[in-house]
Amino acid sequence: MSAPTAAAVPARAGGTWGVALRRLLRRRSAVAGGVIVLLFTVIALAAPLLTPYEPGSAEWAGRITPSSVPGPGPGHLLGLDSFGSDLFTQLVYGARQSLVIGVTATGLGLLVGALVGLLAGGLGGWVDTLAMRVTDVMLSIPALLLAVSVAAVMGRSPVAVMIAIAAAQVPVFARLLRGSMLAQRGLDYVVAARSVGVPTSRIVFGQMLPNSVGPVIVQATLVLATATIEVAALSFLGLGQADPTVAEWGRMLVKAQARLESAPHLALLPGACIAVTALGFTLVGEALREVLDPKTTR
Amino acid sequence: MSLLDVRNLRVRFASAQPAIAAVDGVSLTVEAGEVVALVGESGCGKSATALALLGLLPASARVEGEIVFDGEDLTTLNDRQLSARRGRDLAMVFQDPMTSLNPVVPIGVQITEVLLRHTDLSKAAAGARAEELLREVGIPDPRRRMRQYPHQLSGGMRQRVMIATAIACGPKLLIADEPTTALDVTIQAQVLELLARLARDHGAALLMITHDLGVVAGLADRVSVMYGGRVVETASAEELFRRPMHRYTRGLLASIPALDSPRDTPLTPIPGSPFDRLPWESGCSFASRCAVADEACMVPGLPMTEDSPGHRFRCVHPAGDAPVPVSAAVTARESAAPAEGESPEPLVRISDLRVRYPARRAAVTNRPVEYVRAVDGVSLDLPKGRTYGLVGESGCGKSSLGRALLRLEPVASGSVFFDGVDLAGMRERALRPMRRRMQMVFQDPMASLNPRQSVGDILELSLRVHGVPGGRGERRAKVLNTLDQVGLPRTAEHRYPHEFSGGQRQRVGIARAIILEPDLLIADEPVSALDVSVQAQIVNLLQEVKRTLSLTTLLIAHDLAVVRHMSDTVGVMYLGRLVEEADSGELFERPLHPYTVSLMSAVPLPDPVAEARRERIILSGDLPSPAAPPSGCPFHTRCPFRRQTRCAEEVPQVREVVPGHRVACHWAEDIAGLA
Repeated sequence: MSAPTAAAVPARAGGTWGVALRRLLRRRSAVAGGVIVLLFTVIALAAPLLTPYEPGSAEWAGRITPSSVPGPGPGHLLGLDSFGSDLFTQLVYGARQSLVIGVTATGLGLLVGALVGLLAGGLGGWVDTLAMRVTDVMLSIPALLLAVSVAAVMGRSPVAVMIAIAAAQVPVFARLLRGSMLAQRGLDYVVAARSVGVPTSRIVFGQMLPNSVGPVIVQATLVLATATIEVAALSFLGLGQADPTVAEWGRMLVKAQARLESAPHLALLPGACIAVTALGFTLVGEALREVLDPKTTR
Repeated sequence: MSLLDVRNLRVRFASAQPAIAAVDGVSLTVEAGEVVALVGESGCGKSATALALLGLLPASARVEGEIVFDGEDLTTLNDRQLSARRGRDLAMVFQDPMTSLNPVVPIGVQITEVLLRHTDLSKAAAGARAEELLREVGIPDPRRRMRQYPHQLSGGMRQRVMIATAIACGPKLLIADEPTTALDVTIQAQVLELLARLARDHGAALLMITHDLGVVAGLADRVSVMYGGRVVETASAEELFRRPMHRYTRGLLASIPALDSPRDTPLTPIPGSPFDRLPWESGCSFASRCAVADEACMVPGLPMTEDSPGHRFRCVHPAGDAPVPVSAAVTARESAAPAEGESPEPLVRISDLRVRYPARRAAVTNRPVEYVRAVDGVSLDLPKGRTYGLVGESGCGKSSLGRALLRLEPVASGSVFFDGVDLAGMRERALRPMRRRMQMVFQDPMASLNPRQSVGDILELSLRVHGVPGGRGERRAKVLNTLDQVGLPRTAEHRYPHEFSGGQRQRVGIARAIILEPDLLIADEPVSALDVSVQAQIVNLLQEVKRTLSLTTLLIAHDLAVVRHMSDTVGVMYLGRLVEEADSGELFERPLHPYTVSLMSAVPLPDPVAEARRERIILSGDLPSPAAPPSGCPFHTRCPFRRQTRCAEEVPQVREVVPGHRVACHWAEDIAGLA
């Protein structure tokens, strides 16, 4: 616990979030994470400018033999992949797929899950009971099975993958936010707000929610990291993007399996991309959790 | 040679920034068989000292100095050698018996384990000895209890088990760190008595660490007072309470209301908080809070002065023989309450109030099938402009009553008339405008303030919610004004709750309660989470705002001295019922209900002479569970005056035994010798 030091407290502007942002920028790990995420976002957006080739074009397929894949050389920065496409191009366009699917799926899961959690934790009573029973049922279905079912209903498409991943995350987010809100509900400051006469909606949004989102945000960044991997898993099961020419890191990993001994870089590079992106999100999330807690002063 | 001789002990935590010494040169001796008390507030280093003695400090702590125990320097021993002594020669009783007992191991096994580790007893013999120990610490039916887990025992029972474990191997020194802080007054009395008796019977020395001077007075042979990581005064208990020399000791004694001190005089608080201390290198650590401090106090590493044999202190301006200034510094203020004469109109009239909580729920429907009756038919009036003190032990329903009054807990039945309007059946929406007129101060000031809101926002919220007329500027002026009123700097507006000390946080809590200028203030244990020297500040502040705003106050507290000091009328609750109610002076002078009598006799007095003179009633047994209260009079299971007839069968109603003095006891007149 810090002793009260009047001078050490900077004059503040912009409320909790403004303070959080400024404190976030003072953390090296947060800045590193942010740079990684930003870098991949720029790569994804500027993909056509970064490479002269089209993704998925197999025009150099003739140079692939069963025992060897051409490595880095002139014209092809990182060489070719096992289908004869430019590896660098595939990686650059893969960032698009992975980020879009990962971010959208997580955002969707977060949105729906948080809404359910908010209603359950904020209102309590039968709303809570109903919401929790539904999430219990959802949790009892294995995530992969759920994803397969969604894909089966919706057909093979990136949208199906997004919804499948999101659906698996909804109960997790819902329970997390609800639990965190319930813990707040018992605390004296919430009782104090009630005793002052603050309306329930304002207690839920103005008092309980800001104190409850910390774990949810951290969970979201972890999900962002794993969503990229789940996209790969679903592709592996043949449930992802139907068009085999669309570049996607997960599928690149799958395809690289066959040539793991002769051309390990085919697996290592997309693997590294997934890992680094996941690391970026995790760093940002972890730092965000800390700065959102006013008790950690740095 | 002393049994324990601590010389110049220093403990520094690597994680602290800057690395402040938690213990900054403590020297201390304990003779064989002696009871020594180490007294101090939070942050004074008393617990770090205790942990250092046992070698239980975390790895981040750096320990310097010598701890000579039984002729051996403990600081030179390695972990294995130390743990061979812990539990055998040196044993510790911790504050919270719930967290210091292993929750998944039956208590019999936990005691037997210690015996097997440190003695040559066989397993069967150790089991038998464990049973004997449980009997010795007063646990009924020890054979059955041996197989029980900690959660199946009450707090007092668990502390007894801890004590049994501690004395199992006949230690030479027993260290008790705040052994009764987590317990109720009547249970505290039992445990203290037990500790003292066992130490005597087993010939063990007892080092008792506490913040409560009252606990010390009746128990200790010698007392050392700590401040800022050092012992600042040490003397025999009698000498220390009679002639406190250090200004801090004196300040502590003056700032606690005693059961026999005059009422209606403000307490003399020590300003600031125990955390604004100066480093000893620059002078007296207490100088920043001391009323008489001057340049002479700024002697680096102030030495101890010997006053009389055994009485030493570290102070440049010792207090001398002047009596402890109970109110000397402040002129006695005019008696605010016209205590005699007719009572004013009640602002709040509670009749037959019942509050219950679900104790067990049905499996599928989640509907409650069993209830705990927290408040079980209480009727009382809060007279306008007066303070009503509600006392009782934990679980007696006093907080539930306060919260139900504000409709923060659902009312099961009964009525709560506030200024003529029944709040009990009101809808929340209709109630909201009423809330402006009744506010609450909470026990834990940290938990009751939203950690993400600045103090300014917290205070302004109340104004905004109630649409107090005026724009932003006016609201802000009101916020600043209220900060002045509670004695906080105006810069507090932009700061967050965690940046304040406990006492300052409680000031914020009070500011929130009074910013709407309410008629009714409910203060639920407003000072019990605070340090002793800070409590007086808050008590005085509450008295002051009550006077300036002519508030009607419901003070809920377990500390009888605080209640007596602040209240005009006092009600005593036991297991959800009001058992006695009278004018404060009358009640404390002539308690009529056996429970009130026992409760008062259980409160330790900060005066060894009075403590030795008085007759104590130590209640046997624990508080019954409010889920299954006893038949008849709820107190009959523990009552020392219990009669064969009526007590167990018939619930006593509250009746006026003496004019203005209401009691719920069939035999009140007989017991008090009035009939």
